[in-house]
Amino acid sequence: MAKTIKTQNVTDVINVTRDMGDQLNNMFQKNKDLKVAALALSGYKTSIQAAKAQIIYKKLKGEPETIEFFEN
Amino acid sequence: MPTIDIPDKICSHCGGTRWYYDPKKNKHICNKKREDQYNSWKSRNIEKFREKRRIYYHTKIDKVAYYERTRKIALANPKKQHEYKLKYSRSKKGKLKRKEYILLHREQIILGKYKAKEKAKLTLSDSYIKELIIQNTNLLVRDVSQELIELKRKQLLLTRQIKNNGKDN
Repeated sequence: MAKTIKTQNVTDVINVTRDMGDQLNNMFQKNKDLKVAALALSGYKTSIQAAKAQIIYKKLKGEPETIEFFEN
Repeated sequence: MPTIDIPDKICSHCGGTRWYYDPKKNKHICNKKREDQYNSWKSRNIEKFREKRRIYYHTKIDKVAYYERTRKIALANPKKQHEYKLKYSRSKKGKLKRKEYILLHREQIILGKYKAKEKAKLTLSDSYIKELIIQNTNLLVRDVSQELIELKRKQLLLTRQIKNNGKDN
């Protein structure tokens, strides 16, 4: 069964993708499998992009954290 | 000659008890009155005063002892030193000197900046990562949080590891 992860707001998305990247990074350190490394990189990339989007949104709108696109 | 305190002798000019002994005139002079006279002379003859000070510094003073004395005072008061340096660098003279220095040592400065950038790339310093994050955006360096810097650093370390493993293989 595939694991489902629920997120409520953009900080959840950032944290979840970061944790995914960390776990895959640890797996790569053990296995040295390049596919796992690529997945870890994409996890980090998503987390960084979400954090950047949060900062840019805050600059434009003046409100922290809540980005409607990422809300339920 | 040093000034001395004579508690019995009170000056009619200022009411103080500090006296300076003048050996030529063979009498005590009120220290405050002497200082006021000197300051008024100084304000009227600034250029003469500066000339005298220049001559004294270049001929009569022991430069090594002077340098050590001032250095001790500077080391004991780092905050004040920093304020003086800032004040000088923002003054007209300081700005002119900086421009002159930049014109004379242009290549050295560029080389120094290049070396610093190379070092920051190797060590993945905070400032280098912040620049990478804000490029092609309207963000400023102060908008970037420490968590974001750590994330980006992890990503860069992983990519470097992958590249190095590929080179070794």
